Amino acid sequence: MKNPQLKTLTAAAALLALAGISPWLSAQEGEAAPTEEAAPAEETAPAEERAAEAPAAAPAAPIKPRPSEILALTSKGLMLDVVNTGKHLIAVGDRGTVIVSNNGADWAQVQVPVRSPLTAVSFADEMNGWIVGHDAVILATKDGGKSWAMQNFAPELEKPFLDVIALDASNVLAFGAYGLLYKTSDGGTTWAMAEAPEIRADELHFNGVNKLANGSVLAVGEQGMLGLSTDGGATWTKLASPYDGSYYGALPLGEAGAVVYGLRGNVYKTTDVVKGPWVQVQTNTVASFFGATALPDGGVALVGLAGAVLKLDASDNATKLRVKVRGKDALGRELDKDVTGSFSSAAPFAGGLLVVGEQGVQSLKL
Amino acid sequence: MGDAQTMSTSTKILRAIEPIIYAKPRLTMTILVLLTIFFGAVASKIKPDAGYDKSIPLDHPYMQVLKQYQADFGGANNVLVALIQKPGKGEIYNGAFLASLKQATDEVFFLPGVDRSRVSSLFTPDVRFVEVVEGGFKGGNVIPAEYAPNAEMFALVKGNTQKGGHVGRFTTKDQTGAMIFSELLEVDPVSGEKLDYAAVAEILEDKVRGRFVSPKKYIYKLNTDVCQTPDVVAAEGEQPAAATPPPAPQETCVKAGTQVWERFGQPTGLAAVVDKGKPITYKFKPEGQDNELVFSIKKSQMSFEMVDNPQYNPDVDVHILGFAKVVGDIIEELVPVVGFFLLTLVMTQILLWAYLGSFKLALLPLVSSITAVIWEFGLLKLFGKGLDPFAILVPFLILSISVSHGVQYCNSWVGEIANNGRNSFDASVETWRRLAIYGTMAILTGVVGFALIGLIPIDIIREMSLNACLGMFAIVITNKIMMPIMLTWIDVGDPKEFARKQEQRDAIFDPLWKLLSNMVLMKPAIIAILIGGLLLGWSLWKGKELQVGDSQAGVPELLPDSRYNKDTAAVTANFAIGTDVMKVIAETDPEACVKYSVMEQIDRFGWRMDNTEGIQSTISLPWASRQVNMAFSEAAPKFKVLPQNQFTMVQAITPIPTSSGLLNSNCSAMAVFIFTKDHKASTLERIVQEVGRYNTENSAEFYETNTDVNPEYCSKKADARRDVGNARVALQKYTERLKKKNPGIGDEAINNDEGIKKLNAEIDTTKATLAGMDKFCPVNFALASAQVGVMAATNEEVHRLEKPILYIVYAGIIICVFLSFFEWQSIVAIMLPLALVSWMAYAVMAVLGIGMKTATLPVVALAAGVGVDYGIYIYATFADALAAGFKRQAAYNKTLKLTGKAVAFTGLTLSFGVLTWLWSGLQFQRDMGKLLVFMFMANMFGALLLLPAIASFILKPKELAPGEEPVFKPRH
Repeated sequence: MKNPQLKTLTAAAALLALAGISPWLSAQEGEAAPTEEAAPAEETAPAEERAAEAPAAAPAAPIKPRPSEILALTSKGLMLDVVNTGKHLIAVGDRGTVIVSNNGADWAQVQVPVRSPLTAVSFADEMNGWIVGHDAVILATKDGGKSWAMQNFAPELEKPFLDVIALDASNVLAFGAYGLLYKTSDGGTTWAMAEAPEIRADELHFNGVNKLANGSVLAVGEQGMLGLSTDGGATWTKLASPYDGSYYGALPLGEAGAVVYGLRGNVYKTTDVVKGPWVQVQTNTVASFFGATALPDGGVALVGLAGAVLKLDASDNATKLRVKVRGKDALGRELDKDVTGSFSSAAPFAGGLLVVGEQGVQSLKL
Repeated sequence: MGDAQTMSTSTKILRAIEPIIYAKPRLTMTILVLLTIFFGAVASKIKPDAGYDKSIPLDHPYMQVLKQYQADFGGANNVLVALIQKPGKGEIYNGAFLASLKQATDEVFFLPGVDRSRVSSLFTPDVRFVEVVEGGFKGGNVIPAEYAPNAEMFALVKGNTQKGGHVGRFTTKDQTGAMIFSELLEVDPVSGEKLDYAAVAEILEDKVRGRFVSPKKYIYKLNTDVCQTPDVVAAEGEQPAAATPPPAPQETCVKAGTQVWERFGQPTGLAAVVDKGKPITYKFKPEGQDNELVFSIKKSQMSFEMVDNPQYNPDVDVHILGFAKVVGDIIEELVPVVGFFLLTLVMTQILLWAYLGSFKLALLPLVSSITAVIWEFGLLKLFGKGLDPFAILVPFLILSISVSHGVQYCNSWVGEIANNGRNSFDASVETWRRLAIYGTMAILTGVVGFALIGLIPIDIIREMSLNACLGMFAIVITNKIMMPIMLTWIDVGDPKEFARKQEQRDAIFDPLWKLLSNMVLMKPAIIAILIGGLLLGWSLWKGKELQVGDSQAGVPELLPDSRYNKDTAAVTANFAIGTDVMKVIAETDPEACVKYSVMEQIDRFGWRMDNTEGIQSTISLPWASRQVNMAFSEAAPKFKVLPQNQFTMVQAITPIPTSSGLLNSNCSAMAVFIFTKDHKASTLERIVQEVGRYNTENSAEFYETNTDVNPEYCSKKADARRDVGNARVALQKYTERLKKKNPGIGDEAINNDEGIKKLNAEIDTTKATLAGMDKFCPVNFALASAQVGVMAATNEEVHRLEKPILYIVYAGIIICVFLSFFEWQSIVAIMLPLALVSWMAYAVMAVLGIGMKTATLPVVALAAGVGVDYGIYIYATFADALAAGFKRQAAYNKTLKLTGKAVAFTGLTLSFGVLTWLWSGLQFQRDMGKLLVFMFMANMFGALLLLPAIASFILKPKELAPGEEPVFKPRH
């Protein structure tokens, strides 16, 4: 049995050892760690040995998108988002991975025209869906995920898309790092950078986006950013935030409300995102949440750092859950080990939960 | 016999040599005895000489890569020490365990030959942790400098270990044990001296394992003052005292009663006897002096007392793995191995006695065989070699081949006395005339076989080849010169009585010979040939299953339930990282690791390997920098990627030190660690193929977008890179040799050496060539380093050479056989049974689960060497008898009585003797015992049954004139 958990176990910290961690690192204050800009090198890079010794950048050959490789263990690699289209389960992840399943256990890989890490997937209906990822990749399907066409590929931007929302078969919004926001109103035939200076000016990461029950779109990101559009992404307003750390996503709550979640166990909810008030949900954990999904029973499942899964019922009672590693040991016994890798996203399926993350696709009973 | 006119060339040669032996036998014998005494004296100093480097094919391209990057990424000669809490004793985070771990780490650090920069455990500063906290990172040594054994610290260490991701590697998966990693350098870089593996193994066993598992320890104190004058010491001291000679060479004494040594266990049995003679070294620094004095103190100068061992830790088990330990365990078993050899000899002697009817006579083949082995060892030592524990089989083969020839000789001599009524001297001369040529040709044929194995470019096999050739040379001397002389001195008493006894004994077997002589009749002959054909078919089919390399976990040379193999099992079961590691070196340009395009190729390579059957997991620089990048991005999985931005990439690589073994100092080479599930040849082949395929596909993609380079340019660049590596390795080797030749040579003298200058110039030239090739090429994934890399190279080499060597050895033997008889029939009749046995040997190895590897590769040639003399003796006599005019059946009956008897006896006796090896403490010897029993028996049956069957079809008896009686005489 292939055991991806081994990697986590064997992560020699020698590798991460901070033997020479430069002073500039500790100077990096605040929760928003990645502040690297795609700006010219001289401005962002302090004196750094390796960079200094680096040979002058050769005239960069144009980066050619390469089709993803079909490999056996794809579903056990880094998976970043999962969605139930109503017809199939579709999960996306590292190295242009798109995998499809009907039972949540057996996954088949679909080849796509890129190898970039894919970070999010969203379907407008059973047939029309979009995937976004690093290298500003946007892929689209019109046949329910059987085939994917490339609509955008811009590695030279050096910015990743981190989430996508298909409002309908024509209107799609793609959010990314450093204020990246792309928009299409023709199903992706043309994509354009959205204006929206209200939320883009600070060039913060948009980590997640969702549609509220009333049709508004709520985008969340670094430094407690909450951006709301009531007109399908044409115009945006920045909302007052109860928290100034990073949010990773939002779920709709009631007609105009939402649950937002982010770093170090921070979860807030409100019945009206504009008027407030926001109430902090007691999660009793400092594990960051990177993904969440609404459950059929009205509760919410949050997933995140180091295998954290938290179930909140309708009255906000929190239950911690653990996910067991799928697979058998050398003697053929079921492995009795918790998943220790971080989760990125979750989707309810067949009375349980599908979770995806560093150790691939996992499932658990609720 | 024969007149001068009819004398053939060979007869002339015989006549020329005869006087050497028979003219002044006493003088010749005296010279031989003196030589034997000399060789004996030399041989007594021979030492077990194991070496890791010599067991690997250093010329193989993989090994060139290993050597080129050994300084950066280590070699394959590891020593692993695992301390594991006994079941139910809980986790390692307690004072006693951590104290033991620290002590053990220190002991490993001071092992002779250890590469101190590569000793690694929870207590070494290269093992660190890092955690993401709000506002950045926190990191440090897993065990902080201010460590003290208290509950708080234990909790802290446990936390750090987990944060650092060391569970499964530096500790067991359930954190009830810990590992110390280290690596040995075979040649001391300072002195150029070769590492004494036996000494390392002894220290590992006593100072590392014994320290914790023995409740008592033994303190050695001096009985008397031991004195030394410093200038004697200065020569031995670590610092040559040339610069500052001690002002007054004063005698320094270590007072009686001083504790000079300690150990944790006492050897028992034979080992204790060996141990008594071994002095210990004691380093002593007298007050007010800078130089450390090294004393060599005999065991008799000390007495010991048993005290409680304060470091005894009843809760831990110690497991030690590594080549050095294997060598130690094998050497430990060598005493019993020699015992088994002696047992074989004693049994042979008893059987010979029964066979020849005279104890004295029976002693001769043994005496000459043992003399041959003494000569062999003496010559080997004179060639500057030691006896490799893995080549322990060779002296025994020499012994058995010698016995075979000796028995033939005695047998023939007895025949001359009993049947032809000659006296001892005449019988000896007659036997010599009859057997010297054939016997010597048989031996030479063996020599050719052994010498040709030396074509295999693996040093240990070359040593075996040299060893065997020297032994064969010794056999010629002892069996063809000593033996005839000794026979002239044997007094059989009343010849009539002797003859009568012989006849009596022979009569017992006459019915058997009668039966066997039917083999030359049409029907039995055809049946024998058909059976031979069937066996060949079976062998060819079964032989395909022969494994190349090792297939089981642990070391196949030791018993499956030996301590070493149990240790291996314990480590494999308890740690996530198996002991099977291969490193592939990603080669590119300096500072290339900050480039996304480069890192991406390595990253994808790692994932491709992860997806390869038989691979458990991989670790690489991109793999690590992905983790760092994620850590920098609030640990969000969506950032567990390689950044396109060069400066973000720099940030993701900076925290990874070169001590991680993932990158070299200028980042032009990065190691990809591949942890394999096993080290079966099929697994390694698959990995090698996959690496090759990735190289091809990846570079094809690269050339598609980078049109300024082409495959020719890049392959030249790769060659240039290897040239730099090879030049560096050559310099290192040369320097080591230079230092060994001139102990204490200074840096200046080294730099002024002509050879060094030339090699340095060579390095500069190759470097310049490489630097001149500044266009970017696809990353070259170069196989391979680490243990499994070595195995892959060895397997490939063995696989590549296995058949060619067999053919070459056979070609050599065919030529020799032809030169012995000058008739094609001899080749067919002798070689076919021999070839059958060789192929059957492969099949038998497959059945017994013995893998084809460096230690077993020479087996085929050795088998041929053992078998060819049987064939030559039988064929020669049979052909002679036919030529004399005997009918086939009568001729073969005569052959059986003359030489066949001896062949049958030798085959059975040696098989019987070797059978005892099945109770040996070494799996290696057991396996070899099985193989040898098979080979002795199969060659015997081949020579006695198949050879005459084949010969009966191709040889015709001489037509006799009516009334002419056949008279048997050698044809040559």
